Amino acid sequence: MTKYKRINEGIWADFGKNLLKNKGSDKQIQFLQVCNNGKDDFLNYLQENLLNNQDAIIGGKDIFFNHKFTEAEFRFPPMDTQQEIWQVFAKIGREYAGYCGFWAYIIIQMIKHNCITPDYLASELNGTYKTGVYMLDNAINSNDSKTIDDCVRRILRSMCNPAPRGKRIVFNDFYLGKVYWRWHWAHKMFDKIGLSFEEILKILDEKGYAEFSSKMHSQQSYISQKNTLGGLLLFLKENPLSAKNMGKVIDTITYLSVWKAIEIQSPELNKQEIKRIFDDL
Amino acid sequence: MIGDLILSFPVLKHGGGDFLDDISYVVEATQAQDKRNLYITHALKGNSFIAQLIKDGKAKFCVSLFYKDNAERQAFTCIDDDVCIDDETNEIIAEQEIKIDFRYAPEITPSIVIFENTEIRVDNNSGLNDFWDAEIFAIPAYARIAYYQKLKFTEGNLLQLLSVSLDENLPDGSAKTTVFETAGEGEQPIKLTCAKDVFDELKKGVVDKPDDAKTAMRASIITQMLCYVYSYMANLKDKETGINSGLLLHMQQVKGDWQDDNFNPSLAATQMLPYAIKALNEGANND
Repeated sequence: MTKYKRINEGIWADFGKNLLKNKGSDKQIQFLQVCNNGKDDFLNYLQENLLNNQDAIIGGKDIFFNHKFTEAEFRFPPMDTQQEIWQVFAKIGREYAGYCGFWAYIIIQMIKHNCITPDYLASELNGTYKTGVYMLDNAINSNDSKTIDDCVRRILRSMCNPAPRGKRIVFNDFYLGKVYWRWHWAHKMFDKIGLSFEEILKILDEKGYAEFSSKMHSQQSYISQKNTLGGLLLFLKENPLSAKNMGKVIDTITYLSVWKAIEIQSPELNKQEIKRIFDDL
Repeated sequence: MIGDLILSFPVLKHGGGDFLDDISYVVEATQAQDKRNLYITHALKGNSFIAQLIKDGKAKFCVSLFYKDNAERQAFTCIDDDVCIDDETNEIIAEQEIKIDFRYAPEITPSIVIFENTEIRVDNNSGLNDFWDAEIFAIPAYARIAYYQKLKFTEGNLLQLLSVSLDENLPDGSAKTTVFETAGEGEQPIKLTCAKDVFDELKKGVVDKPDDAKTAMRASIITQMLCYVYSYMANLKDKETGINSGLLLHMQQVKGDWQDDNFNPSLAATQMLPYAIKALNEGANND
């Protein structure tokens, strides 16, 4: 199996935890400032506070994503960009795609090669004025510890650091990871349950996805097995769920799987099982 | 969680009590590191309705593999060719060889699953205790009728958790311990960086029961390291979330409750037998 260069998971997590120790601290403000200052300052900061640790980088093959993003494109990659992301990263395999440190290394390389600028990491752009530059300026000048801390957290999530929300961010909060994992699950399932690749991608773009992806990464992730996932996707095709109901349905599937081997039951039978669960909610 | 379920049919599990004492279901698993394969052996002993269901082809041995860091679950059902029935010893053995998809070993949940709706009339061959005498019960398809405990490969042995490296710049006699409690599955959460003389001494091997000054000195290096590790872990604010499972298992084997405010890391370290280090960094080369 090919090994790819990545940042040590523990060291990467500690980097984030150290930044989140004290809300509104000088350390946090400094971090926002270097992010705002641009590529050279930001990379120097990472070199001095993360990469200078001799154990920080775990060796392997370099993989480079040579695509120059706009800020909006980085936040919400359109379909053609998603396809490019998938084409580059499909070969790395699920194991590396689950490492926060792998994606962090990718982001740092992208900054180094001017594919993104550091301020993109702070962006809340969504058809509004909340660009990364705006959010950084606002936080640095706010004198409000929560605003500063929120901005730091946003940057860390955009770099796939697990400190804010745990390793599950790789499936949803981290933009490249979200694309990879949605496409991975669509590829995994499309020839198994009679739904097209595009249909599955659409299902995984609905409002319940955040809850779905969070549950996939918990100890209760019985839905990740393909027969169970197939049943869930077939059900969701006809019944898109809110985040709340998605969570309840998945939790009930987990309870059911304790005594019933739903991972062996066919996707069609699982769809019916899930419908019964939903009707009983 | 299994104990909290109220099921209308008996399930064979350790300490369950529904089945007679001579009925058991045991699973063993070994991992071949060089081939990234798992070898799993299921053994169902005794005369029971479960054994009969397997012989009739209505139930099968299954395993579910869970790769925690990658949110991946996989299910494998034993095929008939891999099942061996020994009527003389009243034993059914099934073997599975499964390729590991990730660099680290998964959590394994074995069970016996019934594949069709079945009705059981209890008799002398059912293997059940008096409670179930004369009962007729229905078991729905895909129900798990036997469980074994979850298997995890990382036993908390220090050899699996520790990597040792040399730093030429360190002064003689010194060593530095670093703990990465959030190290991912398959990574080593404890790192010992040594000066050359310390590194050379450790390479000679540390034995469980030191019997001279040299071996005692080597063992004491490990004890000092453990003291640091236990102190570090005891001082963590969050002692549960995201901690490397091997490290967590090791801490559970430490004498004294490491999560308690009165935990004495130094005492716990001295009471821990030094582990034999067969080869430095052996764990890091498993790929």
